[in-house]
Amino acid sequence: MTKGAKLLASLWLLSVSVWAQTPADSLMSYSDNADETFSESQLGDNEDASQAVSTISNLRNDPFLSEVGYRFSSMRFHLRAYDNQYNQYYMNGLLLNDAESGRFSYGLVGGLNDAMRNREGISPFDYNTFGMTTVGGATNTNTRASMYSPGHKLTLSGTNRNYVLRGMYSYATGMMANGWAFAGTIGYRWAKEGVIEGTFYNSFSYFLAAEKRINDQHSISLVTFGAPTERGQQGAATEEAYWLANSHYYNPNWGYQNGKKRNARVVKSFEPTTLLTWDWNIDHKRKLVTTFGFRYSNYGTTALSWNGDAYDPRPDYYKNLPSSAFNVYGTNNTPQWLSENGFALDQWQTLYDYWTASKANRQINWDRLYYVNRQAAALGQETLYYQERRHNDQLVFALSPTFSHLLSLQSKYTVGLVLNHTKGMHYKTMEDLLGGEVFTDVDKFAANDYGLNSQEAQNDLNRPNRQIREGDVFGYNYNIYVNYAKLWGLFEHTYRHFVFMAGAHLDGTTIEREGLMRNGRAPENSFGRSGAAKFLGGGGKLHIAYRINPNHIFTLAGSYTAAAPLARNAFVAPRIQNNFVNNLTTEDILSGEVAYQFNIGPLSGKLAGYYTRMMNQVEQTAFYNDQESRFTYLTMSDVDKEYYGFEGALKWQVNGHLSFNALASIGEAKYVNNPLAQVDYEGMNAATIAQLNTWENPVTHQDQSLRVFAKDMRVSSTPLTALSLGVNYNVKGWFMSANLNYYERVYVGFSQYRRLSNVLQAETIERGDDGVYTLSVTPDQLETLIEQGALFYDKQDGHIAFSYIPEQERFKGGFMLDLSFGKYVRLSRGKSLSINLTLNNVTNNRNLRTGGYEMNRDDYYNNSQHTQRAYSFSHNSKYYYANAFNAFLNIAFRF
Amino acid sequence: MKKIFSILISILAVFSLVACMDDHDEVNQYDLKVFSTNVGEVNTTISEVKARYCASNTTADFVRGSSNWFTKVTDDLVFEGIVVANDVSGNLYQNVMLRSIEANGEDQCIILRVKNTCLYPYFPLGQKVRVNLNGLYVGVYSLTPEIGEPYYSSYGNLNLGPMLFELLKTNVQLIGKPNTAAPELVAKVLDEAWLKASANRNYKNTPMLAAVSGTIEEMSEAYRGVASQNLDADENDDVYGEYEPLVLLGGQYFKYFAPDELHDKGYGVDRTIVMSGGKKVTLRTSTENEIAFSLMPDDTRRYTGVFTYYGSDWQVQLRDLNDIYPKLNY
Repeated sequence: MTKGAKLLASLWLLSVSVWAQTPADSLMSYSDNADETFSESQLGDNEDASQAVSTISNLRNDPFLSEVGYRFSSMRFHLRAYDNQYNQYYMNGLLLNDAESGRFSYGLVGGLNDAMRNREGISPFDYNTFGMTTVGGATNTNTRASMYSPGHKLTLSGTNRNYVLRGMYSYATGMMANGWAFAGTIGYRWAKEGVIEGTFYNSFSYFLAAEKRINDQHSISLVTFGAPTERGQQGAATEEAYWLANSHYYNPNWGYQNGKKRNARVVKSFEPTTLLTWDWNIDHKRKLVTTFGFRYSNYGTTALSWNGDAYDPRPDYYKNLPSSAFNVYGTNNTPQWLSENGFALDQWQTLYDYWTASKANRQINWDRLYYVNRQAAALGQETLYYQERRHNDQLVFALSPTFSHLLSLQSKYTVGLVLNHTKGMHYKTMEDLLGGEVFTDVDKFAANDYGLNSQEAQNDLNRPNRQIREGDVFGYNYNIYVNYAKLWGLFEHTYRHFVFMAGAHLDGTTIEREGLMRNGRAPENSFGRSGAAKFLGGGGKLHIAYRINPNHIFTLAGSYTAAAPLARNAFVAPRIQNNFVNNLTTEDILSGEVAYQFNIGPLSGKLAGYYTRMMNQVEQTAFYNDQESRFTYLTMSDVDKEYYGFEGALKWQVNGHLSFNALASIGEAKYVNNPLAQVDYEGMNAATIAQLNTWENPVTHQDQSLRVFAKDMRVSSTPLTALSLGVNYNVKGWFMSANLNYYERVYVGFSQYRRLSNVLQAETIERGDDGVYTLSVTPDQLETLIEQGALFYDKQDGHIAFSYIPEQERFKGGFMLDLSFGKYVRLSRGKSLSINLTLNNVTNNRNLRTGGYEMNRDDYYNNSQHTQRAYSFSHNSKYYYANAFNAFLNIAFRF
Repeated sequence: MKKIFSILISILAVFSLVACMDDHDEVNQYDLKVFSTNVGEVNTTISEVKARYCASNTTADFVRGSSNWFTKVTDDLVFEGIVVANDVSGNLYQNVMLRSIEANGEDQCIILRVKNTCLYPYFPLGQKVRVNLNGLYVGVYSLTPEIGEPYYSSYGNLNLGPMLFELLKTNVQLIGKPNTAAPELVAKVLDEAWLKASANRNYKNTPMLAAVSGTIEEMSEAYRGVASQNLDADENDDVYGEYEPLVLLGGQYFKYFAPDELHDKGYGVDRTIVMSGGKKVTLRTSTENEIAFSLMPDDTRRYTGVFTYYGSDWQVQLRDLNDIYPKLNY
């Protein structure tokens, strides 16, 4: 024990000293590997849902799915480019995905790797005994106390990612003679400063499980866990900002306050969850598992905000960048123009010098914000800058009884019921007045449009002009209720060469909003209940496997699902009012897959093709609209998307020590129509918003439905091509692996706003006698039209003859080399020590973009001159880069 | 059970040690990184600067028409002025006006244009400011003397506009604390004879902190019930052709100072102050500020603000609602 502990401590200290010194120059860390675990990426870092990878874990019988999540997690790979809502996470048979967003929050189980180890992965069309899986598959974690090996385990880790240190201690009794079993884990992850400058990490986690086996038939299991976490976030930036900061890992979210670093965007989360499971083994063929779950989530993110006409305090605000003075890539960059406009280059140089003179200049100047607020207070003025905390809390009750019956050796079925009641609580509080003294709860945009004394300016007419102090709720406050019931069943029958599986489900969902403020822009429909929108869904799946022999299996599978839209997309402007979006209906998902799995001597693998079409979907984005200087909701309905492609995995087992493998995912994921659009500005009343949502045909002068020209836009922020070659070697308790991965076809998140039918330039065009449209423009004009986008209306009847839609940027592909080393040491008296070292991106490729998004603004002034702005928004998207070289050392001592 | 108890105690112990990391001390020593700490010794005055760069366009670096020109200053010309107008209400945009009353009686103002909103916390009224013009541009925009830098407007015109905020670090120094009793803060009271005299319409008298008394023409019996139509906005603008709202109050129609429906290409609305003798002064107000949404009075008031002229017309822009006396009471 003493020897092992000393060794452990020495190695841990060594790891800390090594990795803490690594230059803080890496981006989002959401993949770190621990012993025997690949999905640390999901459990470890609590990144935002949009950044977490979408995979199924521990799917051992599928050579592709069992590897892909781990292998490609560095690039935020999403299986088949599906959103995370299509990847389900169950625990003891209870679905834990958030009913509002559809996604599972991996922060829920962050730092609890040892506790979450007993997992079962299910591909989309496999038979299982816990739920009706969606097109992305599912993971079920068994956390019953008796499932953990008795004994102690201490795990220490050092890394240069979001956190620097991690410690975990686990203990389990195993099933004791008195019928009780207990298990527990505590963990702590910490970084005073993460690998990204200005971030920090502070997370404690706990897991406690107790199980009582009452008799051979009945047992009761109680599990409770949580991970109170506080962490500073990183923000995306434009390429220009990265260039000025000389790093692709520049973080605009922090700045100096009293000489110390302070992050403006800090997440605080704590989502204590309790599950009570009753296992009833009715007989050796029939089993009823019933799990009741309760969760109370506290999740809040701070953001820097500003009032009135205060200047945008973000350091990378476009007006602070050199290219806002002079676009060096623009057509003006000619000797003649510059000789006549020398001031432009001077201004560019001034801003360049400012950005590069000191680090503080390109970060938030907190001292200045305090100064401005105190000066304003001294003049009796309102607070100009403040930090708010946006809360998305949840209260969840769920019940999931599942009955499984083994009819014979060939036949079995499972039926289940899922009941879920979710209350989402959304509001914001004043986190910090930053030295200010007076803050009135009015909407700054509405005050500009309708006057400070108008009804519209009030955020809560029930308590007008309320003075806000730190900690007070202000701005918006509403609840979203989701009730969900699902009845499902799966049946499988095995013949000599065939396996046949069929499943069906029927579900009902209600969605309702309850406003707790009477908003001045929507006085009649913001306070109180919206009434429930009801959706009846259902679907089925079929799976046929043909086994020539155990080494050659062909499968054919298909499914159809009609599902309720997500609650988070259901309201036009959920912060303000109760109105549901137009065209809200059940979404249809059609999916099919054909696969061949084989074992030929030392060669094994799987080849698969898939096709999925999602129809009638609703998607909502909420963003600060730079063009209109307003917070905007843009909802697309009637969205159709297609996902199709090829997946393959090959493994060549040379001998008992050495194997080679290859993995490929080559797919397509794109919008296939131009969805209907609905726009809402937070600061405007209903009458003004009604005007926004009309689109007049310039020829017929008739109002048309607003649309987003999204056809052929790709799903963003995941590589649509991901390839990997790997080698594994193990001998005498040592193991080593090397994977060379190649990523391609990652697309930037396209701005729906820039592709709105009333934002794209409208042109009329005449069809010639020969039936051909001829465009009479100069090459420069044509280039502009193609870049900025335009709709060409037939002069005769006003139909859209053709269009140029702004292209979606595709990032350059690249390679990444990952290495892994490990050693397992069996010590005396059942003790053991395992050491893992993972090195990611060994070649330190710092130029791989994992994602990003376009700005919601175009390049021209909206006046009769259509003058071009100095700053080119269309060429200044914001990007994220994959981690630079990073390492993870993990040491586990079992005793 | 002992072990379980130990685990629970351990959890509590660890949890109690996990302190909040997002705690920060209040700022008491500002490191603003905004202003220069030493722009040099004063060697000129606002009057001299205006005489050199704003009196005529004959030596200007750039000239557009007869009302817009500017010149880049390449010498260390340093002057001082007191802030007498700023953007506290939002009616003035990216502007502060500096005034200096010299020992020789010279009393002149100039606009300092800075590319930033909410300048008033940096430039409160009564604050003495020292400016080194080296590298900045001085000239006139619509005949109003200004300091700033050139820029292209949204209509593609090259004008003298705001200087980069970052240049405050090299060119502008704050001297001492604001003195709200500074004589420069006392507005000149203008009478009709002075306003009518064409000789007074020269670069020396524009801009100027001044006051006039009169009624608003749009609130006169002849016009108060008549809504104006917007024919001044850009034709692409949604408000082109719209009528202003009329507000019925106590049986009488009232109008706002600057309703959005009436804004012109410069996002402002012009009203007319009629003095007792009939002399008219344009009252220009930007939309989207507290003045814009205030109802205009129908009686005689005194209006104080930034006076400029264009052609034969004088124009005033209020700094905030306190510039209307007696104060509005509705």
